[in-house]
Amino acid sequence: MKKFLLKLLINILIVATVVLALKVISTYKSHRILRNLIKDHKVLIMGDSHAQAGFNPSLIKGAINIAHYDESYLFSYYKLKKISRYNNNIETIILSFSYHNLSGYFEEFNNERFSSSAISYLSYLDTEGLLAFSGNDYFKMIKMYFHKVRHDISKLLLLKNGRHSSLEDIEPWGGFHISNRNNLETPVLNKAILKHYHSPQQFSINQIKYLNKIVKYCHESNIDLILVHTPKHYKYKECVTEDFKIEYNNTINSFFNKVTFIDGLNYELTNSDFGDFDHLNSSGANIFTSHLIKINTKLFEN
Amino acid sequence: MLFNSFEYALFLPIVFILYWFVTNKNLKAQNLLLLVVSYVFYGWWDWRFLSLIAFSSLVDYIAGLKIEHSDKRSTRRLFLTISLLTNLGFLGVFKYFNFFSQSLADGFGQLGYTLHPLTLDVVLPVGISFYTFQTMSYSIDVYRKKLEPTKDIIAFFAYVSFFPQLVAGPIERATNLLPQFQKKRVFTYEQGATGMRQILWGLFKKMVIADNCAVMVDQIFDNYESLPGSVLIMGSIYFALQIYGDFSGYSDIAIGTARLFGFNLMTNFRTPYFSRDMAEFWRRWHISLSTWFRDYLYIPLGGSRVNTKHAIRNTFIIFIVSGFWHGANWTFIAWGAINAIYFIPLLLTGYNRKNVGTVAENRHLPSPKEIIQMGLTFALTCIAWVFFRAENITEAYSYLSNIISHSFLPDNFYYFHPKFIFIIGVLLMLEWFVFRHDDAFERINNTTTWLRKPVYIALTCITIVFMVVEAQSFIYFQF
Repeated sequence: MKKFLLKLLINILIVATVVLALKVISTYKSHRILRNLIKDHKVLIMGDSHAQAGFNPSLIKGAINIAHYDESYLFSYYKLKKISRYNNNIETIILSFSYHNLSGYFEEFNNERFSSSAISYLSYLDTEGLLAFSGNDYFKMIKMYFHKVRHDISKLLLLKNGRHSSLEDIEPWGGFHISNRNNLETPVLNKAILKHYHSPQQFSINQIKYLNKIVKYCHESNIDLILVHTPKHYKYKECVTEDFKIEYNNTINSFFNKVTFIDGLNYELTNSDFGDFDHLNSSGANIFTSHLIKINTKLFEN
Repeated sequence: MLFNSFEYALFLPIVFILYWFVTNKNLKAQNLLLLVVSYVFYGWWDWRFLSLIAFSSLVDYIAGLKIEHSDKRSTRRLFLTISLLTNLGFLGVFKYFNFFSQSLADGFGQLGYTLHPLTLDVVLPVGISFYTFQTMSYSIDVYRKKLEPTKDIIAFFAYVSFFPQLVAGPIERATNLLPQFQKKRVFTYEQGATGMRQILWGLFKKMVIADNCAVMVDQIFDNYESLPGSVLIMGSIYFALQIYGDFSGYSDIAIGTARLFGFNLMTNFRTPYFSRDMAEFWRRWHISLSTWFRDYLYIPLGGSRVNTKHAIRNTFIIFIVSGFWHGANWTFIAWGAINAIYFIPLLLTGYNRKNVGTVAENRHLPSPKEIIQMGLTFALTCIAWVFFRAENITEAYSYLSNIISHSFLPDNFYYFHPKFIFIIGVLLMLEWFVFRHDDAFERINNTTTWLRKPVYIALTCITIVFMVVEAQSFIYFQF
């Protein structure tokens, strides 16, 4: 038994050493890429797919779009905190904030099903973030940390073309979604409405909590935060329930003086500018981004 | 609790320490510990179903003693019947009731009568097909006087619920496993080391091969109507590897874990995809189930030592029942029937026992003829797996016909990612050069440490790097 346990321990130590070494290399490389990608940008575009599809960063001076589909504010918050460590010159953050961002479906990030798709985000989380993500469950947090290490290593070894051309290779970096999609069929609308407004839990506590944290963080760091309600197709707007509209307005009002709010919900676009009922396509994104520049000339001079 | 879960990574060492350092002086205490931890292991899914295992165990324990104590054939038969009806009754209610009810309604529907099927809103208890078959083998063997029933109720309950193989086999016979509960277990270094190696190999097969292939399989089977033929072929190959990695991986972890506690479980898979014909495949695939059906169904029906008509009938029965054992769906029945169709020509021509040894024994590489034979057998297996994986027969048929009717070449190589070539390459290399041999673990033991150690470390690192992050359930849990 002694021999068995001793050999087992030695093998575990060897594997742990190899894993640790790979983790160190992976962390070093991802830091280097992140620093290079972020260092020259003063405007960050963040949020979920609505921001990813809605803002063309090339039209805004010094901007980079790092929004990522399905990204909850919890991840946006820790993403912002991590990026801030590499770039002290961030002046403005444009964050998408629409009715659906209050939806309880974002709450699902805490359950096992969602965490499998969100696991790659763990790279952005520090210990506090991991604990928050695991719902203050230390056991789950240890599991998550193991997954984070494993994820970092595997991504390092599985880089596309063996080069670090993009941070997306390592972390869910996001980016402007160039698309000519134009799908305005009824099932697409029904699917979006069902997902956004009919989840078992109506409102997400964590979305509001972490949106507040982002607001507070930006306020304390002297970063201008602009919340933008991106344009939606009129058929989509008709399906949003009153409860969401009320909760949305209350949330906006609670940020009085701390954020700039741009309501693009009713900004007029043609059918051909929508990717689907709640996302813009590239044409819509160009028009809407130009509109933002017009009403915020100080901030968005190109 | 899943073998590939974080919980199990904590559970196993705790049980190991309690077993060898706390209860090691007393056999009864060790068995009681195994019983308790096995119930904890199973109750992790759903503690309510523990009552089923406990009830099934109790019925078979009593039935075994009653059968033994009675000289009257009718009494012996009565208690055997009670045992079989209890176990099959559980299976019937939890697994097959809704299927029969729905099929009956569908049948009447075809005749123009509308029947509203009565369905039960019940969850299928994990591993029910495994432990019910295991306990039935006990009652039948006692009835056949092949085995003396045990009076030690703790040992018997621990045998039925032994956690390494409780939910997905191997389906152990009482004649092999029960006596091991009744004698003192001794820990040896070789047994422990072999156990750990087998666990590592099982984890690689499950977490790397099966879980990665599962991602591709789901995508391909969900979009089979729009994908080119070559991708559909890859889909069936990925599924063949997924189900093999999943199930044989589970068996390896089960056997390895049992070894850590001083138990020897039967081999369940012997590199089945290196088979040269379908008969050989079935001697190497899910051996514990195949031999169960052989001993308790096929041979009592007369086996192959009957006239041709009955031999064909018996073959169809055993394969269809085997298919149906996997699930209450016509796809599994079709899968069984297809395998029967594959097998019957070999049986009738006497070729079914032609390839009984290991392929390329005493050689490093197979001959061209063996390569062709293995390739053909694998292709036949993949065709049958399409039925196993499909939602219904129509989907399986469409999938296979689309292989031919769709364009062949893909637009991109997404479904042929180099990652898969690498991990499948590692699997095939190790399977061929090491695990193809019946004495694989002895060979590993005899290899120099300087060769073994880097392989273990590399395999562990590959598993960590390539595993699918969230613990995925094992396919065979649903059976």
